[in-house]
Amino acid sequence: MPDQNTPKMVHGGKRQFLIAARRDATLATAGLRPFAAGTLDNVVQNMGLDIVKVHRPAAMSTLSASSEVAAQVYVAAIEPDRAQLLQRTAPPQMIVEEDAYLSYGPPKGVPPASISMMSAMPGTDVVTRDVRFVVLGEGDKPLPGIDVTLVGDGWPSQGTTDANGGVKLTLSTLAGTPAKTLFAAAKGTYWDRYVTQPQIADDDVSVIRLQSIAETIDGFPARYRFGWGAHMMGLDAVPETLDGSGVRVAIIDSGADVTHPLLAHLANGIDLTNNADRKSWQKDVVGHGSHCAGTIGARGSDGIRGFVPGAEIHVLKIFPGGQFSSLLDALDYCIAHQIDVVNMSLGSPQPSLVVEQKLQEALASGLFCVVAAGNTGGAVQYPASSPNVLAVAAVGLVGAVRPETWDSSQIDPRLVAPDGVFSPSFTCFGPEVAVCAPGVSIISTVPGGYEAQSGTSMAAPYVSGLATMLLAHHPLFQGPMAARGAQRVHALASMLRQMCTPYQIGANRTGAGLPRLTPQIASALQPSAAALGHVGAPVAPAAGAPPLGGIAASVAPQAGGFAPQAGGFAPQAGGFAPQSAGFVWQPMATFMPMSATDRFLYQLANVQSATSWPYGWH
Amino acid sequence: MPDEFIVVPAATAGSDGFAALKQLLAELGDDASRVKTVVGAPDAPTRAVLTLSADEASAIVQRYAGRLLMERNANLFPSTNSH
Repeated sequence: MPDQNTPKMVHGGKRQFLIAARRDATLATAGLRPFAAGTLDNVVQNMGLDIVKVHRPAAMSTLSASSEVAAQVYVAAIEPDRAQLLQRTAPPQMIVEEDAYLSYGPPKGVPPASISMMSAMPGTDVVTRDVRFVVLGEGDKPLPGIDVTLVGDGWPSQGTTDANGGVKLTLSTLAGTPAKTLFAAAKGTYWDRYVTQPQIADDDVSVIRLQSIAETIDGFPARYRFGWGAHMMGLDAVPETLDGSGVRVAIIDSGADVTHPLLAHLANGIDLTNNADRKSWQKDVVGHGSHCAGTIGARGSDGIRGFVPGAEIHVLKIFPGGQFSSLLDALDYCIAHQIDVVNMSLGSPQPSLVVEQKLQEALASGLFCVVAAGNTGGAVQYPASSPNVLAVAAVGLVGAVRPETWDSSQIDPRLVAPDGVFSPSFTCFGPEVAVCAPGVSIISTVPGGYEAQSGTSMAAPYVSGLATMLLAHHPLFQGPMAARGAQRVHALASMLRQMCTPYQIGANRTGAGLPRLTPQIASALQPSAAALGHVGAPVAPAAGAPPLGGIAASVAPQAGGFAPQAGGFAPQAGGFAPQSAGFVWQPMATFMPMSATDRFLYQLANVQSATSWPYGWH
Repeated sequence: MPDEFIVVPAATAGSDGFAALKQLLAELGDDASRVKTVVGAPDAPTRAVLTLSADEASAIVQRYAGRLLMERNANLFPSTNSH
C-alpha cells in the first residue's frame, strides 16, 4: 500500500522526439560528413530507446538527397530528462528535437518553440564516470581488438580493447540510474555478448568473458555438418550425391575467400569493384560474401556442408563500395553466363527504375533472383521489394540463440511460434516478403575460419541453395520445366512457396513461411544428368537388360552428353537423349544403389513391351 | 557537388533511347572526369555512369525526357545485421 502521507510528485511521462541526421551545410564547413543511413540505424538501435516509428523515404526523388546520407527519421518516446541529456551531448551530426504538436494557432499554455522549451527545463543531474573492462576468451586469454559499447542515458560510449584485452569507456547516466546495456562485438569464432542492466564495478576492472563457438558446440568445426538452419530446412535428409551439379548459381557480394578449405573449389567469378585485378573476387576483406558462399556451397569431407557444393558457383564481387551500377554489371554477367539462380544479400533504401528494368530482363532470361528483405526492421528494401525477385525475411529459433547475445535481444515474445521459430526485430517486413529462412545465429565460413552472423543476408542463401537444388534434382526441372525462361522462374517460386511451413507470427513477416525439404520431397529428388559426369566405368547391367554396346548405337550426345562407345558410354559433361524408336531413357525417380558404390541413375524403357532396365555407373 | 548518375535508354523509347544515349555521350566526349563507364559497343552504348552536378543532371533529364532514364547511382549495403 502506498503511504498516504507521502506527497505524490507529478511526473511528466515520455514524450515523442525526432532523431535524424543533420544534413545542412554547417557540417561541411566543420569538416564533418553526415551520418550514413546504416550509421544512424546502428547508433539509435544501440541506445535501447522506445522507438515509436521510423519514417523512411518510400521513393526518393532520383535527383534529391544522396543515398549515402541518412534520410530516415526516428520517432522515439523518451523521458524528458533523458531527452535533454541526449540533446546536450548529441554529436554534431545528429538532430534531437521534440515531435511538437501542430496547430492552427498558438496553443494555449504551450510555448511556441519546442527546442527553447527543452532548454528552459531545469538542469538534470548527470553523472559521468570512467569505467574499465577487460575482455577474455578461451582459457581466460585476453582478447584484443574487440569493440565494446556501453550505453547509459546519454550517447553510447564505444572503444576497442587493447593488446591486454582492456578498454576504458565513459558512462553517462542520470543520477541514480544504472547502465542500460553493454555490448562486446563478436570477433572470429567468438559469440558476441549483450548484457542489459550490467553490473559494473565502480573502482575495479569489470571482466567480460566471451564464449567461443567451439566451447558451445561439441566437435566444432570438424563434426559440425549441419547448423540449425540446415536441419530445419531438411538438408540433412538429402543424400550427399544430390549436390546441385549441372546448375549455375551466382553470389553478388563481397567476394569469397578461396583459401578457406571449404571454399577452395570455387573457380568462377569476377571482381566488379573497379579493381584492376579481376581475380581478386577470390579475396574477401568484408567476410560477408564468404559467409553466404559457405551456406550455399561449402564443400568438404568434414565441416559444414553447403546446400549445393556441386553447383557451378560464380562469385560476383561488388563490395566494398557496391552501387546500383555494379549491381547492373553483375546482373549483366548473370544473363550472359546463363546463371540459373542468383543470391543478392544486399539492399538499399532507395528503389531504382534502371535496376528494375534489368531485373525484368533477368527474369525473362530465366534467372531466378533471391534477395534479402533487409534488416532495418521497417519496410522491405530494394531490390527485395521488386515484383521480379523472391524476397526473403529472416527467422530465428529460440533454442538456437545463445543467452546474453545481441541475437537474444531480437526475440519479441509476441513474434514466437509454438515450435520456437521467431521473427527477429531486425527483419524487414511487408507484403513483398515471399518466404522466410534461417537468419539468426548462422554459423558459416569467413576468411580465416567461421563466424556466427545474423541478418536477412544469412537467410537468402538458404533459399538460393534450396532453389538451386530443386533446379538440379527435381523431376519437374529435369523434364517439363527444364528450359530456361520466365515460366521456369515462376514454377520454381511457386514450388518454394508450396514447400513452406506457414507461420502466423506478425503480418507480412514470414510470407508463405519456411520452405522445407520434407522426406517426401527429398525422395523425389534425383541426380541430375550432369551428375553422371562424376562417374567412372559402367557397372554390369541387371540380368536381361540389353547390352550396353547395342544401346550405344541408339544414343547420341545432347548438349555435350554421352558419346557412343564400344561396350558402353564414356561420360562427358551434360546429359544424353534417346534416338532409337521404341526405346526411351528415363531418369529414375529414386536413388537405388545395388552396393555401397553403385549408382543406378537412368533406366532404358522399351515402350512397346513396357519393360525397363536400370543402368548405373560408379 | 558532383554525384554519379546511371543513364540508360528509356524502356518505352525504343531505338530513340539508344540514339539519345549515343548522342549524349558524343556531347560529353572523352571527358573522363564526367564519363565514368560506358557499357555496350562504342557505337551502340547501352548504359553509362556519369559524374555530374545536380544542375547538369537536371538539364539532361529535361532535354532527354522520355528518351533517357537517369537516376542517382545509389549505394548498396550488405544485408547483415551489423550492430
